[in-house]
Amino acid sequence: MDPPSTDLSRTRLDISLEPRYLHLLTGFVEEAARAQGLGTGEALALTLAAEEIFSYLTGGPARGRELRVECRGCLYQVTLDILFATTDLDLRLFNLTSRVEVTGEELPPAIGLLIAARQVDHLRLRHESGLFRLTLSKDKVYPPLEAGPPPPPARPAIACRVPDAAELYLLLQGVNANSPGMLPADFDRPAKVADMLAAGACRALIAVDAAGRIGGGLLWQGRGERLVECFGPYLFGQPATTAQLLLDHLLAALARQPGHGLLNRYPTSLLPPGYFEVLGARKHYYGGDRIADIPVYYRHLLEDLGALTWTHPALRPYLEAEYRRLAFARDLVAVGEGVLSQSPYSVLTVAFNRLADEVTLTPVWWGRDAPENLARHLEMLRGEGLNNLFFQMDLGHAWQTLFTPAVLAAGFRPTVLLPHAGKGDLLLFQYEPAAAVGEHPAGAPSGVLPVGEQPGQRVVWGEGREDGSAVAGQPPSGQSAGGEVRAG
Amino acid sequence: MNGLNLAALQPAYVRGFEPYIPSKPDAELMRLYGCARLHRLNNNENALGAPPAAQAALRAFDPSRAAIYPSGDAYYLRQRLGARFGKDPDQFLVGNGANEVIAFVIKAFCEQGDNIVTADRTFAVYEWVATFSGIEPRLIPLRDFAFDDEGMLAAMDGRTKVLFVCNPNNPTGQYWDRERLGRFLQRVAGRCVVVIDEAYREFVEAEDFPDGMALIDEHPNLVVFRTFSKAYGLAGLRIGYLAGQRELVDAIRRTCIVYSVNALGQLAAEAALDDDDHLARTRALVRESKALLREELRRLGLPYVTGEGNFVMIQLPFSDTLAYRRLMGLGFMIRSMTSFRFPNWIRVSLDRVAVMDGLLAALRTLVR
Repeated sequence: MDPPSTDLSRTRLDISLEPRYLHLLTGFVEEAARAQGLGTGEALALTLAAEEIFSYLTGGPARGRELRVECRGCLYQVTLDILFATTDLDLRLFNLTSRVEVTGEELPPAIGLLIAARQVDHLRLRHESGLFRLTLSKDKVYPPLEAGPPPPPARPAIACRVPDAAELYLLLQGVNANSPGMLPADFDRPAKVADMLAAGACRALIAVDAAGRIGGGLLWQGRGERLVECFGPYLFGQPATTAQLLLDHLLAALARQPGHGLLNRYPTSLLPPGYFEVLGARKHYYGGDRIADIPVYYRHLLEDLGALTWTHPALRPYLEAEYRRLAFARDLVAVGEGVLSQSPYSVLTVAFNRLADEVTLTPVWWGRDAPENLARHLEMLRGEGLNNLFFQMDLGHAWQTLFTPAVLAAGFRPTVLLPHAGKGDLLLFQYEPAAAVGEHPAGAPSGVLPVGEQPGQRVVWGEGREDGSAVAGQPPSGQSAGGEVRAG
Repeated sequence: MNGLNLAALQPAYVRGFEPYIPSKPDAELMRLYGCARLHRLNNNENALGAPPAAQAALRAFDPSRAAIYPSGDAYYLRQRLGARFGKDPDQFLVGNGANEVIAFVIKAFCEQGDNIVTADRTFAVYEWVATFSGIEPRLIPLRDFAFDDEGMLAAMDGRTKVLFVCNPNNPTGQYWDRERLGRFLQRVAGRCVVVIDEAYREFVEAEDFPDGMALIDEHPNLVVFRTFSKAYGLAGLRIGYLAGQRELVDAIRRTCIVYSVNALGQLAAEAALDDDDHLARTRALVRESKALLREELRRLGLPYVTGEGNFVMIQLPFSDTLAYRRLMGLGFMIRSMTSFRFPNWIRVSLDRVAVMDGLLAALRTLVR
């Protein structure tokens, strides 16, 4: 038996994948979620997700095997980890574009996975040491930021410190008043940000004058294990030296902490010179002819020790040139033909940032249908009128580079290399319509409808972050938001 | 699913500690960065190497003795240290580099709930050992690039067990003079242990620099660290030591790991200790290279900070970690200072003039 956990915010259930344990599972998840502070609606949604996954697994070859369910809370969110061993999981159901054939009144068992994926705010699938780990998270519900006047004008700031909850509210209100639209979606609920700060999920600094008046601030959070992303600095009528003061404090706070790099993808015009390198630029298509180049700012926090980068032959010239330009030492290793799993189906997650009109596709699983799967995703996303489409490839995972031909053929072009942003460096591709070649069979077979087009369905669509997790948000046009799925 | 539950086994203060990953071996770095030669200007090693007598001792080492344990407490080396500094050999503890003696002291005096006080921008190992031992490191901001004595005194409380003062400070080279250190020790008044880390003592030329060894007799709470890794050119053999009054050293001895210093290191250190000519040659090299760097950095318009010690800190108009990568490609390994909480600064070890000329040429290509 495993040693007992010392983490009191974590509870665990070990059962067999047998239908008779269903009520034990649902009772456990619901009560654990409530105990961790989720409201009734959110706790029930998480419970429904767990129930659907359990039912799907007990109906397949994994039946009778061990299942572990761990529930942990962190003030603003409850997370469920579901661990099991099976070789026959039909992963393609986790694609946003998944379709389920509906014949007659009876629903196929696989619909349960679809329902589960759409009940939660974040979903991540990993395969490690022979085990699948499905991680489902549900956020608590918070009131939105109320529009209000900016904070009272401050004299030039002389110090930086961590804000308390009231100061944090003022900071966010000030950002909203001074730079509307500059806050990432995660930070538009002050009470949630306060809980995230308390849980250590993000951090913030304010710059204050001698009287304690707020002149600006910045926020940052970890993105994976080795990258930190900062937002800001945001200044309220302050001199440029205040931005420098904030960044100096940020860098001091990051010194001798986990994190290899500091990213700033949504720079304000107040970023002082000399603090960041420009990794590259993303294009931002506003629709119509208007296009802007948005530089991606980065600062390495450590002495780079070099690393291994997996590559596809088609990417090698680009990678060699970029690593030379950025002065990152890398061993480029080509992935051997046929050494990796030849699964028939691929899985992609879709992370939406609707405020920025951006979508990022992340591979979760390699499969031979990658070209078709990618084309289906593109068709759906372009059909939604989204203008800025990205594909991110973790060059620390050999299998992800297998997507290269499909990604290039679909019209994506390598845009920015983010050092250490994943297991290895992350290569961000951007979709350029003119670059697409060929046609891909993306049409739906007869009798099969994309999820979301099933009569009577209401679906929560994934919204999200570039870490591959999905976050609930506004549904695509023509869809209704909600937590319930009905079909037939 | 009955795997090892590390989270349950490991204390939170260890789990939360970011491990330090040292540089790869030079050959690997040269291959990665594509440079034919690599000048190591990152660790403040002695460009002249070990004293001739130490080199001779190493050459004379009988390989058959590798099978025999070394003296467990560096017996003969402590005899030599006692003779050189006029103290009882038992007033010295020798460790596997100064890093190990830092751990001896923290383990000897601190338990959970206690704290140590040091500077925020100094040698990192005081902070690291405290942190992963569950001891709070109280980090006082430098004032004018030097340790802030008033700030340190104000940070002390009833749970403060050790004050660490790096004198001269690595990386700024600033130091407390005799008067300031004496005043500080008076005001601490024996309430806790004061460690004066004199790793760079042998490079010092300032006349008002205090001699920690001489202060030991007056202060029963004073511990002095020194090392053979810097001016004595024996960094590869990892050997450092501490000194204090007998009662204090006996207290630290309880947490001292015996047999941690290898036989070669002990032999080389014994041979090196009294080679004052080598130390003088080393100081001359440092003096000449420092003067060159000062002049050329002024011409380049790059701010710098230097003082005592064989290093100079330079402020760049761009990221220091970018400078590290670019300079590696040009064959120069420097220390980037973001992790020392000096963003956009690099620290450069002083080498022979020809090497410093090469570094300056490389810097010119970066700041043009």
